[in-house]
Amino acid sequence: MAVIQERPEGLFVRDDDEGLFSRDVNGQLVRLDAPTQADYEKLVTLQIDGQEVTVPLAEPLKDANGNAVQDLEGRTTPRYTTIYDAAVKLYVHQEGDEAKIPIPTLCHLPHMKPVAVCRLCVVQIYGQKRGKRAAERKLLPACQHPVKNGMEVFTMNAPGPDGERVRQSVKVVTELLAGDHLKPAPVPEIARELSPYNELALMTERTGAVVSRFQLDVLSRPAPTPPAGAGRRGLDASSPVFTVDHSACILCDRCVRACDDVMHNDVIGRTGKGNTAGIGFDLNVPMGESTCVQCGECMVSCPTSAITFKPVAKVKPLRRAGRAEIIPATELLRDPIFAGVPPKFLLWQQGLVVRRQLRAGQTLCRQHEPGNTAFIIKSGKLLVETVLTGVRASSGLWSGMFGRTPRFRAELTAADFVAGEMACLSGSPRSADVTVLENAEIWEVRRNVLDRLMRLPSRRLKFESAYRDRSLDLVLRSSELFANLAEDDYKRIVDYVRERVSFLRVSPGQVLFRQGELARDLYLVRLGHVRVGVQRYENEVRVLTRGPGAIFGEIGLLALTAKDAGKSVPQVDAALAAALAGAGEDLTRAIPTGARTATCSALNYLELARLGRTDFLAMIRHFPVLRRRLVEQSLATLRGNTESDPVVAEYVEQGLYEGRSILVLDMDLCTRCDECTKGCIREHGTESHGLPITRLLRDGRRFGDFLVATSCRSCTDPHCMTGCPVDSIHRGKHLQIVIEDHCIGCGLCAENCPYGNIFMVPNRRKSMQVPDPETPGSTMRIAQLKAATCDLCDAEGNRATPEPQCVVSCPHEAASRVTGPQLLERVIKRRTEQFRG
Amino acid sequence: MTLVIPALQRIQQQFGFLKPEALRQFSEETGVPLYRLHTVASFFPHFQLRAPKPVTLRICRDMACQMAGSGAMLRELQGLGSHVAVEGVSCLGRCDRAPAACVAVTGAEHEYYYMRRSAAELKQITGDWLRGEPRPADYDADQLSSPAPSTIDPYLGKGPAYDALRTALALRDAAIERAIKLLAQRGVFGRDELEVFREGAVESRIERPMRKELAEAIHFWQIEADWTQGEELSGWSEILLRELQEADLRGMGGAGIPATQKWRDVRDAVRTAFRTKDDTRAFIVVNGDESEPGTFKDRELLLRQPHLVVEGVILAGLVTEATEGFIFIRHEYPEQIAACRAEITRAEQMGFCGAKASVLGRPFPVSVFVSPGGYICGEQSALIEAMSDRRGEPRNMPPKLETNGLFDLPTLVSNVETFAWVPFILTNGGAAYAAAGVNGWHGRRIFSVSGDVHRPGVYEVPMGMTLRELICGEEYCQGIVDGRALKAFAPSGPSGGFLPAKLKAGAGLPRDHVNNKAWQALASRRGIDPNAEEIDILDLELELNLFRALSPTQALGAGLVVYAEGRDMAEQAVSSLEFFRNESCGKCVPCRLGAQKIASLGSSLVAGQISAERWENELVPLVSEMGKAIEMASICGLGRSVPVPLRTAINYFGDDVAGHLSNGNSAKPPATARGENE
Repeated sequence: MAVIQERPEGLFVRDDDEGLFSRDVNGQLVRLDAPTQADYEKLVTLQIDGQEVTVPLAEPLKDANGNAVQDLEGRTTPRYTTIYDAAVKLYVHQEGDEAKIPIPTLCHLPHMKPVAVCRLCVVQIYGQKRGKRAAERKLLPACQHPVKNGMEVFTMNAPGPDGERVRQSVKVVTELLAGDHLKPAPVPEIARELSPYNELALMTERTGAVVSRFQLDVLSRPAPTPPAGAGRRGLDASSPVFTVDHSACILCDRCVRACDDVMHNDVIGRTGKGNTAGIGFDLNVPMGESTCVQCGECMVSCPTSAITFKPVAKVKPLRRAGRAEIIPATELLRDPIFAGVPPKFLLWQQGLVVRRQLRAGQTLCRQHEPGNTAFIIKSGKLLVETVLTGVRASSGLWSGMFGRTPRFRAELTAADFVAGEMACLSGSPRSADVTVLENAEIWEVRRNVLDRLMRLPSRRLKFESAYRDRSLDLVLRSSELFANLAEDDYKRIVDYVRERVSFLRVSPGQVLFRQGELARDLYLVRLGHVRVGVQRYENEVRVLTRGPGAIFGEIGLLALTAKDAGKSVPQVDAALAAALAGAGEDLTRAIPTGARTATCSALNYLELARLGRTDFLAMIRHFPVLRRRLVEQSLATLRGNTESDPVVAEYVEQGLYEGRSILVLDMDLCTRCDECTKGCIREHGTESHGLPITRLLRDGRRFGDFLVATSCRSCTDPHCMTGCPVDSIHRGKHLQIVIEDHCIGCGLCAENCPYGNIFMVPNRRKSMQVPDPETPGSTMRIAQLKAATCDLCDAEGNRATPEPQCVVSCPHEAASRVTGPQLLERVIKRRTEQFRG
Repeated sequence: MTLVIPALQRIQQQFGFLKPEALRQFSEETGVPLYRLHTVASFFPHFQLRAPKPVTLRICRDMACQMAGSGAMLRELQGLGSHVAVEGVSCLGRCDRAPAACVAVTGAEHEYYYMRRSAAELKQITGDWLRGEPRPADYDADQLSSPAPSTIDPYLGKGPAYDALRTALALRDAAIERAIKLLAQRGVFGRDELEVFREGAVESRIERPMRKELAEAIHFWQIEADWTQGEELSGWSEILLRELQEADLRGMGGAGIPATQKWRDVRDAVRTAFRTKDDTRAFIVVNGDESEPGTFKDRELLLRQPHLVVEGVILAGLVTEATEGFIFIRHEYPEQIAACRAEITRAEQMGFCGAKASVLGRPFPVSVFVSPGGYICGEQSALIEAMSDRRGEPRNMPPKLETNGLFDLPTLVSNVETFAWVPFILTNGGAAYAAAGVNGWHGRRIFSVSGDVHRPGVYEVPMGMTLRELICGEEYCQGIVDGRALKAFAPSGPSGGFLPAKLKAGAGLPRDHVNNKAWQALASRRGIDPNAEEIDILDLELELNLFRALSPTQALGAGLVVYAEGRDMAEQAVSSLEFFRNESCGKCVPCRLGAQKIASLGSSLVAGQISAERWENELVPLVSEMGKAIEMASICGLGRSVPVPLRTAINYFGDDVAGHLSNGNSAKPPATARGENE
């Protein structure tokens, strides 16, 4: 009879889970506390397959975009360095080296919390026990196990019995997984595209696994049926966008973490227990019936064919100079620029990258036009030219005579990698004209592709260095503080600030500083809006917003208080100048550290430039013109603080400040005839479904005597454009929001719009077959949804100025489209008139 | 804190199952996402996701119950009408009265257990319940399951118990008195301040404002073992720990970790927290999950001596400076849950525990946590996960629970029995407990014995007593049924595999056994030829270290199962494989998939679908390779146990295995296919 060897190699006994590195030198169990900043400085040396590697005890936590997670002070969040991280340090020196790491992984992704469930990254660890070299009794996961001094790690590359043990385990585990779950995607044409990138299939090649070994009939009896309602489901085609084949799921928990931790959508979790455990949506309902927003993060994260995409509408290349050719995903996947972008993502939405061959002299884009793409420069030379509207030419006489405006110029080549990324990332209009100097090949990429590229550390670096310099210019140039400076002064200021400024991103609701705190930094708003609230005796007495180009935080830095409101500008400026002049080296002593006079928080996603207090003081000493302007701004603000204005508070509360094109009805003139709604329907038709499809509702909140209708406001920083999985929503010619036809109807934009201005309507051109809930077994045809919103009746950008039918149709001149500040001005003006009259 | 599991229990109580509308409403009210509710609810067998039939009959299918014919009963009882569901269930902890069955009635507070009932009787019982006529259960309390002498309770016939706790408190209070005297002599603090010191010394958190020197004095008293004059003053807990150390008390859950080490580790972690952290909470958790087939000793302790468990918890809290105690009990033990709750109330009234424990001097709440079910919850980190509102999936360790346990705070998790011995040891002295062992081993231990013995039950025995005495002794199991010979012995439920009646060189005994020190010592004690090639397993002494040295599976748990000649060990092994497959949590790949593969192989084997040639040349090497990978790469002990039953069946009961091979050398017809869904 066959006999199975007991006690493999006599090494391993049943014991508790203590492990060799649980205790310190005194034998005390070491508590695993959250790592601290100090752990970045502590070095740990270990061996991996005999090679020594020294790593810090902790590394900064990264988010899904590969950015280090930072708080407002710029502090990163440390996490313990793992054996896998150490292996990355040892083996990865340039792009593409990742394949050399001798530790295979399926469940682990760098931006996710390690769960160590697939057990493919297991290694044999040696350490010390009672002063003698000793082996850990079982193989441990490298993705999760922290590094320790003196640790010896043996991977599947190691010679001898240690490596053999790892190789065997990894091979058998892969065989078990592949035997049960390696399957083609359910839709045949997509299966063909996806099969070369199935990570489980690639793992079988890497580990030499024989897929059929555990597929024997005698090993393949069905598992017990799970209790009703729990456990793995079968094939789920209920989502309009994705197919879930639960039988191909290896339970790596990547989709769970993608949905819950990365996207915070909180839809996917494990269901059931044991062999029949699976992933489930909400209460384990079909994906299409769940609260899923179809962002696609789970599909892109899934290493197998368990979550795959359904065919989506092809993206139309935007009209633009140069011969356009959609680059197929297969070509992108071979290009080093896209190495590391999940293949499923590129295969899903073919057409997001367009090749343009341009001849010298052609224009790629113009300043002030909307743009939601970026240009990767593959070859040739581009000229970037910005009209500096706010800058006065130093040779004033000449400019006055010939009407020449100063320009900012830069030449870009393939070495600069990218152009046009600012508009793409920020949703703001193009900030420069881009023309071709030498015949060029440009790869035009959509915003969601750029987002994906930004997740790759090496490529993100390239973007960020380019973005940072150009972004700073834009911040300063759009700021009132730096407007109308002589060009030489402006240049000197920019050079000064560039060296000292840091950029930060802030999430909505986050507080930058509170009233009464010590003032340490000056902030310049690059993107987004800040809420400035002034409190007196526990009541908020004044609310302001500060948008792009604004500077805030200067009052505290200048150590001004409400008492200074009565002083004159020259008086304060002179005192300041005297203090700075007499300060000598240590500027910070010249002016006491002031307190914040207001609480500032982010209203929406903010991008800020930040200048520290010392650098700020040095700046106003060097540049008296800035000092004077800052004093003016500060005193004006402080004077305003003394009175509260409920209208402004209401303005902020309704989010009107970010409106660029708000449909308002003057209720003094409006007769409720609804011609505006009818005009909208006339323009956009009733489509083929007989439903009147309007993009406005003559209903909404009042602001003063105006009704703010429910219709797209074309926000300055559109909430709706955040996260569109297929990048079908962007700005049109008039900076209005346009939703392209390849929209998959996921509804994410509608959910993101805080004002309810995006409507989900049936898409005339797309319908699909779905299971009929009434008659099991049969299917029914339903129209796929599409997001629709006000496009100012000019989606294609054919008109010079938009003529929205809601406004045009109004017989009483009650309807108009205005910006937020215009509306505020009107309301305040009318109030003043009423007060007088 | 825990929110989800209590809410699920409430909803199930209200509707009889987890009504989706109720879950959605809860999710909306609390903001807990739906998936979080489902992921927890679908993991634990206690929760019903769909409306159950009015009556559900569950029959245990493991070890002793399987031997008693529960498989046939399950088949016979299928189709009891549309209002009764009949299901197989994992061990119910009543192996001494096999077969065990449980009746769940919608709307009832708990389930009802029926033991040693025939299929006809069970049919009658479910019928009565269905008609709304309650049938009294076969209560544990009515059954004497521990016939042998027991010494664990030092209070038998001696008053109201908690003497050990009183002694410990007196020790502490005396040390405080000495400290106060010392401080008074130094004249640093006034009389009122010394009173504050007295209170502060025993409180885990001092919140009132006080002089810096006084706060420091209290702080040092609490955390420094050598405060001013060594253990005479603040080292009083050292005195208690030394007793435990002298007793050589080990974890009774099976791993055998010295209790002193765990207690010290937790106390050190608490003291470190006192120095560095705001959150100085720490927890004592009694692992009363006891779901390993063949194991039911804690059932008796929790039912009949809950005062020992409660006192053990409070003593552990006192020594480790923990702030709260939990007794985690499987939901299949309703009487035990009630007994422990009653005892906790009694202890609270006596001032030993609770939110205001007057005698203890500081708050120390103790409560029962009812397990939502599943064998995996007995794995200590899975138990902590279940208590933290998550799926009961084992953690990747280290860090250990002693430092990073419940809510990531220091936590002592030990078996019920480990806590229950503490009063004995602190009353009679550690030396007395250590001396209670025989053949040079230390202490006493409680075993549950089931299977083919005359008197299955719970037996407290001296450590080192031979297996022969336990199985054949008049005081104990009184021999094997029908005078048959011993065929196999399971030393730790299903996870220690099945050992043959004789361990032989090359088949059970360690390599080069004649030079093994443990073997030589055993041989000389038992008068066995040191060069013998085999040993009767009945001659092994019941002691974990001896089994680690000489038994091929190195395990000696609390659940011992005896198999008489005539039992088919291949079938028994296959049943154990199915148990592991059913109870695997599914977290890590090797166990989730491997357990199913091995169980499937076992089912194919006993279904007679495998030829001898294929078995020998293809399947055994394959399953051996897979077994190694499962053992090496799984997260927890369950995974490591998965291959053991089949491996021991192949190695020691080759004839039984061969009997199922389709053209094997035995004429025995293949057994009927086992119901996969049982």
